[in-house]
Amino acid sequence: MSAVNRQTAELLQRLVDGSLAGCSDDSAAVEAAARRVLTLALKTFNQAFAVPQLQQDEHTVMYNLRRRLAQLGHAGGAARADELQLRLVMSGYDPGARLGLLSLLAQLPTLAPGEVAAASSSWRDPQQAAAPGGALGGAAEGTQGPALQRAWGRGALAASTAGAGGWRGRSRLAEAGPRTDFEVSEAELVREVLCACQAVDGRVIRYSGAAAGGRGGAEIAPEAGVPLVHRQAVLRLCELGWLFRRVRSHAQGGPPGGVGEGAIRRAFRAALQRELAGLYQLLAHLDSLAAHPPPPGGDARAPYLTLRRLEVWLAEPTLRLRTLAALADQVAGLAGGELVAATDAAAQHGQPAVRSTVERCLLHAGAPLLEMVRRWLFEGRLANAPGDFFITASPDPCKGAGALWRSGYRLEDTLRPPFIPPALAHKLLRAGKSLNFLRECCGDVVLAQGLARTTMAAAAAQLSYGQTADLEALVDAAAAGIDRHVTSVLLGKHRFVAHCDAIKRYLLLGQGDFVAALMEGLGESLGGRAGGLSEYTLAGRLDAAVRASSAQFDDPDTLARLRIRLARATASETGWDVFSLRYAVDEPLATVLTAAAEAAYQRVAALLWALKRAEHSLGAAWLLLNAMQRQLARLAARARAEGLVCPGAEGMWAELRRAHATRSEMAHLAGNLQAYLMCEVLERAWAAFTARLASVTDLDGLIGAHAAYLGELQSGALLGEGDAELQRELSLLLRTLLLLTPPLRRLHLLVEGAAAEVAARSAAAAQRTALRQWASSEADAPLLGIPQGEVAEVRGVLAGLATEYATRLRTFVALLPTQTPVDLNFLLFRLEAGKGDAAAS
Amino acid sequence: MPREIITLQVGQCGNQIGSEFWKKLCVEHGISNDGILEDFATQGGDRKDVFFYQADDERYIPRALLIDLEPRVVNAIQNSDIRNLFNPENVFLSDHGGGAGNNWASGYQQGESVQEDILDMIDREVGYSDSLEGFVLCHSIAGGTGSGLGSYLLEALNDRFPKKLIQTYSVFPNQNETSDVVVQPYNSVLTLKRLTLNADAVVVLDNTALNRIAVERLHIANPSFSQTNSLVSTVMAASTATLRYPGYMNNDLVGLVAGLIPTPRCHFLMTGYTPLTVESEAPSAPGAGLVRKTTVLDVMRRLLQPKNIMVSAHARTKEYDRSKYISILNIIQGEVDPTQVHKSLQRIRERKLANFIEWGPASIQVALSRKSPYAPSAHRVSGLMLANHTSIRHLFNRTLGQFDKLIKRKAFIDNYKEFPMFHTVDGRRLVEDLSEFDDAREVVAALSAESDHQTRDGPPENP
Repeated sequence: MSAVNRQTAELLQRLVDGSLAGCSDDSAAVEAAARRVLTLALKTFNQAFAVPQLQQDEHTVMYNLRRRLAQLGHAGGAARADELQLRLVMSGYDPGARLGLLSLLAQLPTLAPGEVAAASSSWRDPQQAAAPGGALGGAAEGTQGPALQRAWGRGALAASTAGAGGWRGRSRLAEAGPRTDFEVSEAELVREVLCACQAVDGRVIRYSGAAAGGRGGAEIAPEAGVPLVHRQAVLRLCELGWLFRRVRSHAQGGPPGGVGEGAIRRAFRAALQRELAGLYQLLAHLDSLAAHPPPPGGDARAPYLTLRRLEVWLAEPTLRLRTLAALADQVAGLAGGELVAATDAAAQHGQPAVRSTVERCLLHAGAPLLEMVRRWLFEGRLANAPGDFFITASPDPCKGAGALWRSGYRLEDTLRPPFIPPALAHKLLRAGKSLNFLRECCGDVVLAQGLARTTMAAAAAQLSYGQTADLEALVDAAAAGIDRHVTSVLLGKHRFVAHCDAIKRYLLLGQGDFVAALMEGLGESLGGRAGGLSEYTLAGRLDAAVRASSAQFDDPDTLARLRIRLARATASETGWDVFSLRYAVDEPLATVLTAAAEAAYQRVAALLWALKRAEHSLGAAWLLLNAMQRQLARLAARARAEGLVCPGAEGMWAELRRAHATRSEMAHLAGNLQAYLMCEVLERAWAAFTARLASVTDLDGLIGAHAAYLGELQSGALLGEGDAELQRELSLLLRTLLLLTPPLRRLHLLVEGAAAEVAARSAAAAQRTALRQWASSEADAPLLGIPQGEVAEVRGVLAGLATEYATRLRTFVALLPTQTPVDLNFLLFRLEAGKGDAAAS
Repeated sequence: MPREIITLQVGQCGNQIGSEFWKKLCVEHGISNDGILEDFATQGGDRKDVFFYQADDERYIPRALLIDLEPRVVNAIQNSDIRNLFNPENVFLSDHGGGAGNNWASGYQQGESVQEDILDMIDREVGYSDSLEGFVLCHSIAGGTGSGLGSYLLEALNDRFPKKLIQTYSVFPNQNETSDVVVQPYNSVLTLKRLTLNADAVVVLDNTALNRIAVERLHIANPSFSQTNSLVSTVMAASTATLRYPGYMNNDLVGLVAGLIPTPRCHFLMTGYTPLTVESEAPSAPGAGLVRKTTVLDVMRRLLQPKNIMVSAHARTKEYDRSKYISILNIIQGEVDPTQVHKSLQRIRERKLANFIEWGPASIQVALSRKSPYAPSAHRVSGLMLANHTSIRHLFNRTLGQFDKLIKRKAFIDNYKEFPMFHTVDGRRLVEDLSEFDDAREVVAALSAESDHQTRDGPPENP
């Protein structure tokens, strides 16, 4: 025997002696003291012995105890031990505590004789032996009872028809028409009550209204002669039976029309069953007690039952069943998650007895929930039954890029038990969603498989309901790991940044040589009507552009994603209006680069393309101007050498100069708009984006960073929500830039014609010189030169264009500051640089 | 469609700076002296096909023609370490090998007589390109071959490829030292006429300034041609950086120069460069750890400093306050933060570091370009300025002044008189005909006047 046990026994003895000193006569005081002692002792035993002796079986312990006591010659002690065990059972202590206490009792006989005597004295003392039960019963009647009733009344509001009031009403009904001519003995009534408490119809007490789902109350058979004094007691006692039937009906199957059977509901039923099993045990013992005849002389120690004794026995279980019945009524018809939530709410109760009962149920009912949390968190799998878990798969999963992440799963707030705060629920949602995302979108199952075997998963399996802090810590740790993995998979294996960079280079025209090559290749096809475009041809041009530029060294995967997109064309549109590039991504990247993001890129790209096209056209204009100018110089030289006069050639210089000035104004706009978009918008947003990416911890963060990047791009590119007018003005402005080249082409043709004329004349002269004739002859008509009429026409066109451009530019610049919240100082500064001085002067 | 550019290096100076340029390009693109791509350079996002084409054996061959009337310099190139780089079919040496004797007229005349051979070579070279953008001519304006033959080629290219762009890198003679070529002013003015009328853009490389920079900035007592040529090749390489390392803007020659030239004839561009080092100096910089941090503003400010500008001090300082920038393009290479560009522009404007014309839109354009990962450099950031500045007229004026002194006395006219352009046949006698001189002078003077006019009011009306 260990020293600890011996010490405990001594302490116990002292405690008992101390408590009983000076109150040997007053039985009420003795009872109160004994109750205190019992409570203390139970608490101590529970703490000291519960754990190490868990392996033992309660029945074995009892059996050993009885045998020891018999060996020691205390035959009466065995009966007392039985009785005490019963009281323990019915008082609702959990089996572990009970076992600990009984084990101590079993060990007491093996202690030293003096200690044994001391320790067992309490068992022999008749007054004390009777005291615990009496004290408990008294307390139950006197204090706990009313408190419970009040609590009951509150708790049962939801289920009022089935509550205590319901019982009262029925029992009163049953009282009608008593007969007194047939006296049923009390012992028989006790047995009848015990039957009734197990919801079995007896000879005297029957349940009525079985049709009403077992909700009918018990009534005493009208033909039975039950004394009025017992009638009340019997009906009172039969409340337990009624409650029993209710709880049993809940435990056995849901009400018709209830929701599907989930794990939580099953666990809740099992918890009810377990409670009922405790009651069965008690009733079985009481049955055996009821077999004892009342001892002659009213020996209080003797094991027998009267109705009054039965009331004492059953008071506490009745309260417990009331709580259970109310709870069961309240949660009937609720889905699993709501059940837990409701039970959790019911557990927030000031009365410890109620709370402990409800919490016991909650513990059992919550276990499947925690298991679901574990499976979701570590395996990404959801419960089968609907309504059990607060995270549900979308009922109608719309297929498509990013659908899984955005709409695949959602939180059901009504199903979320209060012990999981919303933030934690969100974290859980993201963690499990990440696992599914990895599995379904990234084809990555390594993490999910590995996670299930970690110590964290094991720890999660050990969690029980209510350990919020532990759960939170665990979820935090696991979610952090998952988030890290998801981001590293996207950023690493799936090269998210590389794809964004490719979009920036190809769609947003960062790869200049590719763009130039594409522009060159597409120029002819896109200039015409949009209707006749062949996507196949354009794709060929795209390929050619890739091959012709340094893009050919890019990753083949990246290049394969580059596609042509043709919007639906209206009759008036040209190829340029409908053509765009697109960058095809699939899962998992499509979760970030969604169709909406693609559309946003599209809008930015459209502006950049328009600008690029304007720049390209203005470059062609510059080349034309220079070509004309050089040709004019050659023409003049040749004409002079031949002594010819080419009319209109000199006058062309002024035209060229004016066209040059217009072009340079336009190019200034196009160049500065481009520089603004590149330096101040694109690169700035990109720098911020990559900086943000460095600190991104989860997929939501990644999506957010990308969305912010796109937002900056759009607002910087004047494509924000309220910029419609600005956009229209800008596109009109950019269109005017395209109008410069055609008139210049006309001029160029004129110059070329004149040059050809001079060349022909000079060739003719050379021929004549070779034939030893005069190089020039009088018959030669004067040169046509450059027809002034046409030049004037073109001059008019150019002047009109210059005016239109200036007007449009003014409109655009005037719109700039008012129309947008974006800081456009950059752009204004660029556009006004060099003009400010002019304005000042 | 790589927008190819064919380089014509003409004459002694042209071939020297040309070969330096190609050496530099090879280093920057990781191409060996034999035209073979180095193993470490296979992953670049650079564009080699603008300036090179690939032969059947994967060798990179410069799109370059080496043209001279005397064999010395070209032979030296063909015996140097880059002897295997060029296509031997692209070398043109005149049969007699006597050169042009520093006579523009001789060069021009010989050009006329060998034009078929040269144009055949050019045609063949053009055939190697998918979408030729234009030609780049490297030459000096003072000698005989580069100036005379170069002038002829400019005219011939105009006739044959009227729509192609023609850019030149033209070396202006050092006017601080007495040259052994006394007819420099004649040659210069005659060449300047063609540069004005027959080229689209001229990058002025002023030997006076290059020497000054070598002496003052690089502390070389007697700078050799190879040292100043190294400066030239640096400028040439930098000015083509955006063509070879494509970015968002300025990816072709037109895009590069069009913004700089808003009027028909004023297309003479001055250059500035920072940091200034000679080729041999860079690797000896003590330790790679001492890489200097340079901001965009630093670079742009330094580029505007007179000491870094490669046009002679004389041309710049005279009436400097009155001279104005018509346009500026800064090509900044290396690791810079693009978002700094705006701030730098603002700062420069606030401090009025650059004086712009008032009659048109003008501002500093900035092109950001990558830096070659293969060329060792002690500097993380380098910048090239291409600027259209009205003070360039002083360079013309000075040349005109020297020209006038000579022509007044008809000095050395006999050297020119023997060539058809400068005489008329009167019976059996050659009578000197100076109309070409007069015409050239007129063109250059008009150019100078236009430039002066732009300084004050605006683009002049008809010349």
